[in-house]
Amino acid sequence: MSRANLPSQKEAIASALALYDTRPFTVADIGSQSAWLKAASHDARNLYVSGPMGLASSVALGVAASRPNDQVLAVCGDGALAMNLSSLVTLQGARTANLAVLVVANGIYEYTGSLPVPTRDLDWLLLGRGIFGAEGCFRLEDLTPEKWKTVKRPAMIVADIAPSTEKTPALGMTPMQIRAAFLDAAKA
Amino acid sequence: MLAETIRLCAASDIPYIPCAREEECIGVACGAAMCGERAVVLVQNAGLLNSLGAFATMALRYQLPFVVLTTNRGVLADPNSYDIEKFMAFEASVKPLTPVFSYPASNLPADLVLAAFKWAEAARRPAVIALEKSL
Repeated sequence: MSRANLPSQKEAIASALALYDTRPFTVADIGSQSAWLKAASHDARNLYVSGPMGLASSVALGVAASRPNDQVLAVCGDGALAMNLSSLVTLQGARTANLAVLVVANGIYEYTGSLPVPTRDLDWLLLGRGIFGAEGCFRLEDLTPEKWKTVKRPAMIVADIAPSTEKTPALGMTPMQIRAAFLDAAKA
Repeated sequence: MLAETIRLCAASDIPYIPCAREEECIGVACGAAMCGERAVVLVQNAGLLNSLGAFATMALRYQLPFVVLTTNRGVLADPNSYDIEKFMAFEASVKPLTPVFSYPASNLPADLVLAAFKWAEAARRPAVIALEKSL
């Protein structure tokens, strides 16, 4: 698969956020997802998971259950989500009506020497539709804000992205800073 | 030991999320705690062993208060051969990582979970309660 003309991770995350009328709580996996989310659109509603790889979808489920009147978006790398694939089954089973997962697939571990991920040939759209149904998983480029409003949650968005040509920016926040800012936003 | 508690939770108004894998439970509880909500993880000791990476790098790293009720299988009064290694690994890995408060499963204090939350919120870390069979 040629990735030359695909959007960058930063562009894909920005496009996914632009699908929402109101800023969703956004939980990003460790590494490039957190870094590019911050670079794309820093917000107090962002939760940068800087510890365990692959846990963003599960943490997002906890946020979604705690804030049922708000939308929640989990931003997961393909390598990260592969480490926690069972979470997709869990959140489908939980019928969480305010949670979506964005998988940004570049086929590599960007933070680890760009080594290939074992899922590089996986059809994420097919996988997502197997779990969330044909009307529950879409390619990012096929969605508009109007269309996204009609999609029943939980749902999944697949974004094929280009490997980064830029150095991944530093997050520049401590866990306590992240937690304090997010808690304030969650309680607002 | 947890099955009846899980059935009660599932039938109550308490938000209850069954997870496919134990490590997910730690993530869900961390997400709730990040929002300032109280969450309880119900898990066997072997499941907590599966979750130690998330427990250390998320729950401890972000100083998140929640409660873990874990059945500590393989103790002296619970000698199933397939549980012994779970107990030994729990002793060797969880207890050096974080305080564990052990109680006999047949005689739990009524205020155990509330006390555990008070401890977790004061300590800024999860409170791990080990439920054990007794002789």
